[in-house]
Amino acid sequence: MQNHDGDVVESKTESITSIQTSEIDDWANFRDDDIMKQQSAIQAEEAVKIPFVGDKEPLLTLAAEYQSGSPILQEKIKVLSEQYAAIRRTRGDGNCFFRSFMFAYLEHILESQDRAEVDRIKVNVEQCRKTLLSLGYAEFTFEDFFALFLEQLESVLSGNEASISHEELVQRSRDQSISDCVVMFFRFITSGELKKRSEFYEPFVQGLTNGTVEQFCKSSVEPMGEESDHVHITALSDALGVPIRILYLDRSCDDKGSISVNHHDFTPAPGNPTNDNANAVKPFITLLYRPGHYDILYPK
Amino acid sequence: MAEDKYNRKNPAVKRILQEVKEMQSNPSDDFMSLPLEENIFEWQFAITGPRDSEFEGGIYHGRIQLPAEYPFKPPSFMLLTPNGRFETQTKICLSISNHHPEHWQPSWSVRTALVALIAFMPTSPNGALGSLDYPKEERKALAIKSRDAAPTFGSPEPKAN
Repeated sequence: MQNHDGDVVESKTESITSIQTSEIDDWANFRDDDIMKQQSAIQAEEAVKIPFVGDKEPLLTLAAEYQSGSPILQEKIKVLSEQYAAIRRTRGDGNCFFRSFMFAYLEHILESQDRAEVDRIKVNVEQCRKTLLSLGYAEFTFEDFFALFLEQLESVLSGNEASISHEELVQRSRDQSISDCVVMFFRFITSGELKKRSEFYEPFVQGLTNGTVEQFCKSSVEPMGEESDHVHITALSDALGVPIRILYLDRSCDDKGSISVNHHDFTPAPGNPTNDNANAVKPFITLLYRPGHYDILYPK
Repeated sequence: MAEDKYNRKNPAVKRILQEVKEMQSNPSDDFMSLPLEENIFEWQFAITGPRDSEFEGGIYHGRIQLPAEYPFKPPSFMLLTPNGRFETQTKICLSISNHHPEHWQPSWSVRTALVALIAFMPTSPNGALGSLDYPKEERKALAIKSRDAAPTFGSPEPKAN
């Protein structure tokens, strides 16, 4: 490793070489413990700023954030506020997409009491379990996460012993022992779907990392804290048969300079048991994407 | 096993008990590993040296510590039997294998990590910390010696590293 890196460095100018070589030495001295200490320090820093899932805030707070920022963003937030009333922020710990999806989905079930949807998603979850087994995953590595998600799903339906209130849902989403396990459940689901349809996903994955689907799952899907891209979103939406709408808040604008907020609907592809009618379903999960981060949006 | 003193709702405890069960019901010729009776977060293992290598025939003992956040955080490994590839009584740096700690994932287990450790023995240490690069003959001698006496395991208390 070091020799290889050294070769690369040598091709650069002399003065840069000495600096870069010393940096490489430093990195080589980073041991597992140091890497993990650094990781938990970053996590602790983020934790102070915001819980895993924040409170619902009026969209005005988003506008306030950009008050002295880019005029394009200010304008876009204005456009956004015509249709959306509120935002719920999630912690920027690399799990924000999965965490946002978790809360938005469970909150939707809690508020709609849509038992048909719960029955439907359970069929897909069962399919995902079979997929993981057929891919060679040991059941003990994922069964606890599956059980915990199904438990949450039951608990947001009213009328049973385990039923919880909205307030309790918020609390659970902030409780690491529950929240992280549900995030992990979604990571397993996403990884299983990507591997099951690896031929389909290969070109998308290669566009991102230049590696195989297998490698991508190992480095960017299954480890906690690895950020999600459109590939993760597509796979999760496909696997669970849940459409997802993402609004993009970035500085892009069209040729004529007119301002609109782009959105993309991730519509579950046919193939999984209950996905056939998914085209007809309007997304009930809306997330706001700002480069590097996802939060939950609430329509008016 | 003293399972009662653990909170079975704790995700780590639940998972570890599952792994113990799985380890017992699917024994391997290449390794054995079980937690201490007093502490399920502290395991011991014995691995056999990989075939067609200078470690063949050796039996190597070691310790595994599972963190409270297991399986979200990786286990750490330490060998107790002199082997010529890893220092004993020193945490093995898995960064140099495919098991980077920052990429540790809950679909891995003590079993997969042990399999990786065995596969890792005949690879070149490339100067990694905690690695040794003894000549083949010495490693062979250590492999033979390893069968004579298993190292005694001092104290069940996890030691500071």
